[in-house]
Amino acid sequence: MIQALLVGLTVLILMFFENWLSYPMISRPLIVGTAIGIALGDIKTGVQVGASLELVFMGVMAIGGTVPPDPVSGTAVGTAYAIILGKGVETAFALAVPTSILCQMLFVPFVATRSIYTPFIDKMIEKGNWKGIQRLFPIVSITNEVCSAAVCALAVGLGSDAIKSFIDAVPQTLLDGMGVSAGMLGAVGFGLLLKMMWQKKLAVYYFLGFIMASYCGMPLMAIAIVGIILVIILYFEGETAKRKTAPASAAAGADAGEEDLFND
Amino acid sequence: MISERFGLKGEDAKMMAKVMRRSHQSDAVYTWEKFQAMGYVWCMIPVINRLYDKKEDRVEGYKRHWELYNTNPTVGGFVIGLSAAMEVQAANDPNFDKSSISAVKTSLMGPFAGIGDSIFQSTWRVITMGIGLSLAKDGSLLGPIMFLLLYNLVAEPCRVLLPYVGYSLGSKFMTQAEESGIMSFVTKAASIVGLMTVGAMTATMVSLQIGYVFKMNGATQSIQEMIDSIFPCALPLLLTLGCFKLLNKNVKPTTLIVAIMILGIVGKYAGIF
Repeated sequence: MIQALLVGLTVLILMFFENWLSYPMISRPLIVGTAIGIALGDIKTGVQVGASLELVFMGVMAIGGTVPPDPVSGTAVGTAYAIILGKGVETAFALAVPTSILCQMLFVPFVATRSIYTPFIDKMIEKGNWKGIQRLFPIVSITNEVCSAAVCALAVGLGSDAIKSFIDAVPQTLLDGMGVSAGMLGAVGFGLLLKMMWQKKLAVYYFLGFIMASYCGMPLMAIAIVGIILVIILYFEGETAKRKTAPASAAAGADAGEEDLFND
Repeated sequence: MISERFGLKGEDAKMMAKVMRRSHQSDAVYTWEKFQAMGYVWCMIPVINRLYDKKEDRVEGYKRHWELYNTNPTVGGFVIGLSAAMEVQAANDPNFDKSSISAVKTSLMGPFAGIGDSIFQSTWRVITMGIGLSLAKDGSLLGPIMFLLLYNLVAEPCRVLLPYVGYSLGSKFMTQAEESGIMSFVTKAASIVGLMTVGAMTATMVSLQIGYVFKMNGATQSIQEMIDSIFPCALPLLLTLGCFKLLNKNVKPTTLIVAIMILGIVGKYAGIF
């Protein structure tokens, strides 16, 4: 029981500070394994299990909006069992994978718990209640991490069978449906952004960026660079157009302008 | 100490020290609908509060940053510093076009996410982890310690210095741009790059697929494949534009969020998605 609490608390602390300090990488399996080892009093096994699970999860990293198997919970529960049962890396591995998949399934609904606060934040911003926003900030941040830590603590406290039966018990369609919704929710944010940025004359660039990503599959960086190039072209075309529209009598003035440019 | 390096004094230095500390938390509150928006408000509170005393001005300032934002938090401090510089300029100059603050933010989030993810997540993390793992083989505590030290030896200076770099570059650039009168062009340019970024992110970060498959005389035809062959990512685009239209008709974002959650689950049960 105490061991379960220790595991949950360790996971909570690591996850919180990982987010709070801009990813100092303390929630990588190597570090999680070590921390669980320290918490349960067997550092050597902790480091060893963490290192071997790190190799498994090495390629796993959330980039953009994707949800990979959760390495934190997997490593925490796997390492805890390896230490409690004293059976080494194989046990850890057998438990790390189902736990990380369970937490991957739950990741979307867990992060969605943060959206519960959105109406309150909206109201606070409307009222200019910045003290309230500051007070709420860490609470919103920790909400979904408490959920993940609770899953880890429960997994250690209830035993490995409990994880498996829980995965079976939750209707898959419900979780899948939540996953579908999470993918769609970005549309609201982009809609809000467009509401602010939309200008009829410039709207065509929104579609240009979209087409470059969807049809051509170009990465964001390349699209931004093309955007910058477009802007440069537009700027110089605009300058030339200005000069052309200026009547010939003003040519002297234009020359002077050019000289200024070169003298700069 | 850092402030002196960047030539900041008094109130400026105090404000930037706060912004720098807070920029560490820029990704601490990640949500599904506005991503890092609350983190950005959190970073901007010291700036807005210092610049404005009237409540209406402050509310307007908070609202400006309570918008979708998403980038790599390790290098994103630059953009936060730049926003702070623009806020200062906007407060001192009544003719300043405040929409340019959002435009610049939006146009930079894509490139900075790309740079940060490829340098830190995909390269430096893997290199330092390799070193850490080789030391951790026999269960030695040296492995994890070396990994953390090496990784953060490069990452932490970025987190600390980039807000200052963004702020001082921003201040210099803003003054020059203001004097030479190219500010309106900069706003337009940022809007163009920003809109393209948002367009590209609509295609990559909003996902909606039809899982329903037609069956006719034993032959199957997936609707999603049909859509993809005609217009890839058409559904995310329609969904985003639909949300945009409804928001313009003053439908509340919360209503849309709840509706989308229900739509996702019901759609999955009905076998559409």
